[in-house]
Amino acid sequence: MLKKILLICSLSLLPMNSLLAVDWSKELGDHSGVDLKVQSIMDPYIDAVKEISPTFTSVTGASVTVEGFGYDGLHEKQIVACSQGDSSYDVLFVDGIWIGEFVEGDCIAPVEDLWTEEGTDMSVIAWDDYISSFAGQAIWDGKKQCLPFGGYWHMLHYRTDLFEAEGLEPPETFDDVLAAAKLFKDNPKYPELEGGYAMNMARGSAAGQQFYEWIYSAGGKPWESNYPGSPDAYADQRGLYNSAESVAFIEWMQEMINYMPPGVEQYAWDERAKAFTQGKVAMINNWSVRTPLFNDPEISKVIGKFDVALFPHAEGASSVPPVGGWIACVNKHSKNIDAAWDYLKWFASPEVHREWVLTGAPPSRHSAMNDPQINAEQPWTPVLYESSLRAWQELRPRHALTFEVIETLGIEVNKALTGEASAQDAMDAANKKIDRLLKSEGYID
Amino acid sequence: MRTSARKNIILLAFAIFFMLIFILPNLWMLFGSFKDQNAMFSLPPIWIPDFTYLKNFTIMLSQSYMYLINSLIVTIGSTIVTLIFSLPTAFGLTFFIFRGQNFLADWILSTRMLPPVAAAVPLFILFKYLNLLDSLFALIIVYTAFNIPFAVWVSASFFRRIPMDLIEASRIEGASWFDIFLKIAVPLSKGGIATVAIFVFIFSWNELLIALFFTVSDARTFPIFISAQVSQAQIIWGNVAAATVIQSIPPILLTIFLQKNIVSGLTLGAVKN
Amino acid sequence: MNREKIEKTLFILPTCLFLLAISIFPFIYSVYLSAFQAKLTKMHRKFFIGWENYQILLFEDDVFLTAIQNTFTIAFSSITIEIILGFIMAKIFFEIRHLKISNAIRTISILPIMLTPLCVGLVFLYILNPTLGIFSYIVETFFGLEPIAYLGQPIPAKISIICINSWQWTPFMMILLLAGLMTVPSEQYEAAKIDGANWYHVMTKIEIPSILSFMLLGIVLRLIECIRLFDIIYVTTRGGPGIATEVMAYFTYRTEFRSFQIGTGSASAVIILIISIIVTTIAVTLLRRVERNADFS
Repeated sequence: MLKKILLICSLSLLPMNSLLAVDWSKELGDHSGVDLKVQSIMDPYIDAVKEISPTFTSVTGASVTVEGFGYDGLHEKQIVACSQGDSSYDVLFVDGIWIGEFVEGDCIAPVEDLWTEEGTDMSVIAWDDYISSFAGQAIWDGKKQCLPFGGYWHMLHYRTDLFEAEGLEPPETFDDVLAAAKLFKDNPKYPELEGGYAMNMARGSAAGQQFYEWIYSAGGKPWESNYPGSPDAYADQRGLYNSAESVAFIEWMQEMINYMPPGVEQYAWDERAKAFTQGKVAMINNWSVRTPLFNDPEISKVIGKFDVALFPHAEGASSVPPVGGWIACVNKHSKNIDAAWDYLKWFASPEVHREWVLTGAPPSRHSAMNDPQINAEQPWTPVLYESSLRAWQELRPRHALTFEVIETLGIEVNKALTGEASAQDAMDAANKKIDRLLKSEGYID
Repeated sequence: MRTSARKNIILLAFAIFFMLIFILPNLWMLFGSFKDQNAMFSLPPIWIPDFTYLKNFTIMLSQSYMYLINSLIVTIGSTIVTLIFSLPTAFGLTFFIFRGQNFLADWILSTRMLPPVAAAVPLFILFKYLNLLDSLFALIIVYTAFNIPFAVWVSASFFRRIPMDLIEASRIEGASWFDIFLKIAVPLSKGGIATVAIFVFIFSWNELLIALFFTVSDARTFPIFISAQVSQAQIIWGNVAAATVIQSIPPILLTIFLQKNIVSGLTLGAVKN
Repeated sequence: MNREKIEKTLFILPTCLFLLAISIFPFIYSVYLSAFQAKLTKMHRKFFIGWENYQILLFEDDVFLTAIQNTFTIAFSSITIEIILGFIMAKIFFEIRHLKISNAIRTISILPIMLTPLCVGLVFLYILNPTLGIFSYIVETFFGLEPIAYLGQPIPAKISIICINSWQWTPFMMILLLAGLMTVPSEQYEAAKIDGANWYHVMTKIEIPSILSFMLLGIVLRLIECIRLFDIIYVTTRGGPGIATEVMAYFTYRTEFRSFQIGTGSASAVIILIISIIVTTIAVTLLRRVERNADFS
């Protein structure tokens, strides 16, 4: 009887796919003597990767070294090296939006080829278990290039204690956000607050991506044929960066700045999250990868005092939560392609993914999102799951010019936010430059 | 007498004031390297840290000793290679008389003034074809090229102090130019050569831009490691402070050695002390 | 005779060849690349577009034009500060040169010159942190001023960069001008004293004329350094906010190694090169002249 109960309990704890536990010793080859080098972003999940990788070593004999880089530094080093045929790193963790550039640079051994060649058991890969808004990021030129593993979605994070004290509901619209931010800024009741809200505003990638993250929920679109549900987002890439909606959104940010902490013009991912963990702002919009940090007693002052809500939207528009995240690719020039592929298979599999998530990483598969233990440890998972189902996979461009487009845009947006240019002028300039860039490579006529 | 004593004290006070401006920022970073993450930014500031707190240094060194070794290899390597190329050339430019001598000297000097960023991509492509990207060897070659003009000019300014009679006397005795170079010029200019070597060492040690272009993984130098610590991911300031302190030690020590010849070096030998 | 010629050639030729290969060839290749549209990440596909990269940079791209402008704003402002402060300091150290302690003070003061520029940037990044840095704290406690984002707003950021740059190089100007002051014959000072000339007259009539060539040399050498200004920008502002601290070297770097547009990047490199050559020509002439004068004294 007791045995039976235990069995039922343990079954209900396990996600569906991992019911068929993989026999890794059979699935993975012997790679003794190989030192597999993984190049990764220094996001909070990196410690979890380091923590679980020894299991791979114990099965295959290959040691795993994970090296972390900052966002821009990673992009720079990764693409330069692999496009020159460098084999320093075997596994590349790549931001989904860089995929076009990496394919163009001839960097990636496509996973679709690898598994066809090997005749891999597709239940190990469990592609359909990926949430589609994220899985789409690993597909380019009609081919599955890499294995998705770290899907991020944006949620609004807010301080429950402050909102309760003021009798406020979590904000849903831009107007709600603005009103709440205004209420908390310089409010004598909350001297520890430095601002009501914090956003990514630093020049370059941070500010550029911020634009894409918000524009759909602001009722606009970045270019003609890119809108949620578009059959071919790249059909007509003429920019709408200076459309009425875009400019109105930038002007809204300009107003929001007044209710943000001093120095927010330099905020990127880390500063934004830090402002929230330090209890200096009442709200932020934030990638789900950092949400577990807000419950980490070592760094957070807001444990148990925050909750999440769907990404806000403008009046008359609906919420399109941003999606992003990291996909694992095999460096085409690696000298250890077999070991690298085995690592990918193992690391991205539902079973190991679950283990990784439980070490404090973001859930990215349906099985993980529905896993009771994950839901218990990361109580925001239901909102995250809903966000992930509403998200739009082409949020940001993914072609070979993505990084440059985002950086160009980020410079102009930052100019508008620091008062160097008006919203209209900055966005006119952004539109002109991005169009010229796309023309130079023949993306538009 | 009294007024001049008072004047001295006032001037001394000003001098000390200026000195503080130039040393306090560094001291603050040095103190920071002995604090934990919270103490580094605590308000009001912790003025004097606990100097027995060495965790920043141990963590940082365990992560980065290989980059420090790379830096040392590249720096020492390029210093030696630079001297091997430059000293004979400087000697030749000083003691040989030939057509276009001045032009050649100016030409060598002017390559020193060219901005390295303008050479980076072509060199990158060149080393790619030679399969030397991400190698210490490539860094040594490039640093040498950028330091040769400096080394030639400054060593020439020291060679010029050797009395011409000495050289001529040896020539008459039938010594070869090579002998004169090795047995007279080099020993007589030891101090000058040391100055040149120290400068070249510091220039190479401090270099960031070229290393940023040319290294991926194995050949990363210490400055590359430090700059990676602050690129938009979470900055662990304790480690950064410790790394900054370590990176600063050689330039500071060597500057103290140099002080007599520093003007001369920084003006490419144009100004004598 | 022939043997001597070979020997002499061996002294000089290797260096020349080395410089040609590693220093001159790249610059020529940059000129060649600047006529192409090319990406570093797909070198097999580049096409000739002639003058267009220059056209875009010089007539359409406000970022590049601002970068040129910023480079020179930063250069001229910091050099001016360096000259003024450097001269004052040189005067002070000149007056107290007979005191034993002055040597030590001077040595400590010149430490910034040789520090790794990257580290200088980091030191100030740490100090200037808007909410938690020591500078904000001092300004707030002693002067009651609200802290601002020193590196995060256009004008403060530009001023900060100028200050950091001058902080590192004022000591250089100081020792250079001090070396200049040492060359002033002491009889001139005594003559001035007898004539009852005040400090202003001494400065304008005696000191400045005799250290003018040192000053010029300092200016030119610093100008060359400022054109290359990169490391400090790279760790502190990264050209931001907006394009307030975008400078030529950083612009070139990010065009070539972040956007990988090596055609446009090379064009920008060539423009820097031309500016450098102009400054260099002046510099070389000056160096020769100062050297000759110095040899006399």
